[in-house]
Amino acid sequence: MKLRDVAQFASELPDGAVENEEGTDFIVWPARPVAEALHELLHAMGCEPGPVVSASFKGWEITFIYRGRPLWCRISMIERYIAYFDDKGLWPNLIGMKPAVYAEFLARLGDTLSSDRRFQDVRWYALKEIETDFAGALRPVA
Amino acid sequence: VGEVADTRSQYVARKRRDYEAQRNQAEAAEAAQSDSDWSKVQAGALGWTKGFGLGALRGVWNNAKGVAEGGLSAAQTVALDPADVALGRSPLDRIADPLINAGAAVANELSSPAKLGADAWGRVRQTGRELNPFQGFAPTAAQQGAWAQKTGENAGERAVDLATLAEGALQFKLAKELGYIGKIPTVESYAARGTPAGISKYFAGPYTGRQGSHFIPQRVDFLPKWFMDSPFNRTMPSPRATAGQMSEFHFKNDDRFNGGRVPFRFGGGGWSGKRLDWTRPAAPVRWWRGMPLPMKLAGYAGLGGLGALLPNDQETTQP
Repeated sequence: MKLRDVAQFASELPDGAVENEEGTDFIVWPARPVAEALHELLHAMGCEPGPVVSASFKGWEITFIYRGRPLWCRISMIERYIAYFDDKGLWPNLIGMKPAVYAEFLARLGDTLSSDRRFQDVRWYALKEIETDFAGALRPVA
Repeated sequence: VGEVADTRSQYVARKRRDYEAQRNQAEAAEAAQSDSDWSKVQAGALGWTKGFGLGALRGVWNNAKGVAEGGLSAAQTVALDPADVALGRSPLDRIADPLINAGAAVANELSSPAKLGADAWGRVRQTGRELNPFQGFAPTAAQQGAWAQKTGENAGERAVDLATLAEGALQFKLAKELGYIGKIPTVESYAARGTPAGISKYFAGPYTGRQGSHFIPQRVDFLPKWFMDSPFNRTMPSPRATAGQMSEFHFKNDDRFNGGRVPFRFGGGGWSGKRLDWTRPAAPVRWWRGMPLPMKLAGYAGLGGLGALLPNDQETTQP
């Protein structure tokens, strides 16, 4: 079973960026409205999400619990939006084997994200596939 | 008669002891011969591995001691000495004298290439003797293990020396990447790397963020905030670092950071590290690069403390 836990998508929501007076950098980094929409979606899926937190130029982060499992998400933007998901557990990250409940979460998220009109052209990638010629998979779990 | 009997019984007892000693000796010799070459190889490998760990700990301690002694010596060298002042000598003279002497010694070595070659070859052979755990089989597996441990200790100390040198080179590179030393990248230098014009202008501007780069990511929420934001976990760039320098540093350390947006003043749109041909090291290197120097020094001090508890030893070769 192959898990792809990075989603790229388009959205017509505003990017929410606020630049400084000189226009040389951001005061509020892009992707906050999309992060908040994703927060709502996670809540609707039965997750217990914490607040949307700024991670400076890396984007916006949400930690949440799905069926007792602590998970994490970072949303940022290049040309399209990118949402990275991960299991927060130490062991799954050290040994590279994610628990079954994480795969179940991704499968459900894939369906939910595709059917939500706020997110368009959703594609799924493994970390190494991001920003490569790979066009992305339609589902996160294959 | 009683005296003769006593002497005889003493004689018998002595003979019994002698025979027993001879038998023990013969059994020991037989046992020694029964140690197979394979058991000696195993004992040697085990001894070398154990020695490597011990030698590495001692190496860390010796290096820490060397740095402290070097610092003290340097401080003494540059401090003004009243005797020197009376003679009209400056601290520079005290620095210059040993340098001149060292230069003369090097010139002397270089003046005879044949001797230089022989010395170098001699050093290579000596190093081989100090590090090779299998220069022949010892009479017993236990002796083989003991000899191999000595060479393992030598190898452990050398490995720590090499690792310390490599770490020094890495810290120099990171200091450049974070803007502490060297030239600060400009619009032109980014453009020369093939970066599009608008992104070059954005990257050459100052890094305005105040978050720095966390080694243990902030999503790990069971550690106290004072530790998470301390120099043991957070690397801060130099105040003169550019947005591009910090972006590239982050890109190299975090595989969940691949790019971002550019302000409208510089043309808007997005930038991607991979499209800019930035490369990201493999996970263990990435992990090591991202670990702040204070955290590494704390680990080094801990290992050095363990090394200080070990008995000191001279470099040893097999007999």
